[in-house]
Amino acid sequence: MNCTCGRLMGIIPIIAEKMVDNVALCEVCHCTEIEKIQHNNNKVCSEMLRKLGVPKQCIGATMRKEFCAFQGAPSVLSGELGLFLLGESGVGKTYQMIAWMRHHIYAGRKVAYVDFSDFLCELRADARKYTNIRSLYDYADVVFIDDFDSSNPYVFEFVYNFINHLYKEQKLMFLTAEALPVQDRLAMRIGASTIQVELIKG
Amino acid sequence: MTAKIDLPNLEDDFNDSPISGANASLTLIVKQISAAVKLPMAMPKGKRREALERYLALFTEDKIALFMVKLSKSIYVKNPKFSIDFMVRNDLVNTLLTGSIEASKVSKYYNVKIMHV
Ligand SMILES: [Zn+2]
Repeated sequence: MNCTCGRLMGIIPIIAEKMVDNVALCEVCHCTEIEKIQHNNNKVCSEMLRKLGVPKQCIGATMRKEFCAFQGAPSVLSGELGLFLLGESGVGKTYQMIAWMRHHIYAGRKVAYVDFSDFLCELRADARKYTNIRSLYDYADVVFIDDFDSSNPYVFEFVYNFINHLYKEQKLMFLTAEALPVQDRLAMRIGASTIQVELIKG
Repeated sequence: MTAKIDLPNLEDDFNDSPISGANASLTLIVKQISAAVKLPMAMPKGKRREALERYLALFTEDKIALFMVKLSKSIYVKNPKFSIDFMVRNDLVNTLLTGSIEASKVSKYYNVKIMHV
């Protein structure tokens, strides 16, 4: 769509808690309006992340160009595939995952954040609650799992069930972990639904 | 940023040898490889040495430094047949720096990409 000034108008998302609206605006004629929208988007997005329990220091994570400088990034950007970020601790996996979380909020997808150590703690406290815990994320289109770990054989069946459930429900998955899961069943699901990217400092 | 690696006794050995320039950097790299795979490595001679020089010239210092870190954590550490020749022939710098064969080895379902941050 063209603006009255003749320029092609850009699509600007307006983020609200429950939904994302898109409006066509001209970056010259409507520049103050666009600035206001972007400022507000940023605020709403950060507030959503805070409510979802994302670590405070990561809430403002922005998607920089180098964040998606890996082979296959376009299919992650478009929402076809998720991402498995692996690497040593301190390399910035969570930060980068949250940048992707913001990306999907802007794209209008419903997101959920899972602190996996909390998930395991709750599970260990009472495994009978597993179905309830799992259903907490049913609303989401994209599930972000921080610090994923499948090395504990006592909870493996639950962990596998959780990932398999997300897979079957066709949810997009984003995970961070120090290493890739070795169990074949899990690897098959994760391999099919994510691109695995190893972050290396340097 | 240059990756760091522990190189046991490297400094001492190195300072003892009266070498300089290109020779010195080649000697240093051989010592670094040796430290990374925890095996004594001799400086290759003749054609093998030329091949090594040609091969190393393909990479920046940063890439080589990163390679040393990856090598020290790779399966080659446990391979008694590892040699400088083997490294050149199998293009190990590229093999280890693109596609993290170790991570991919975990399962046939993975195809790990590398991203430098
Ligand atoms: Zn205009």
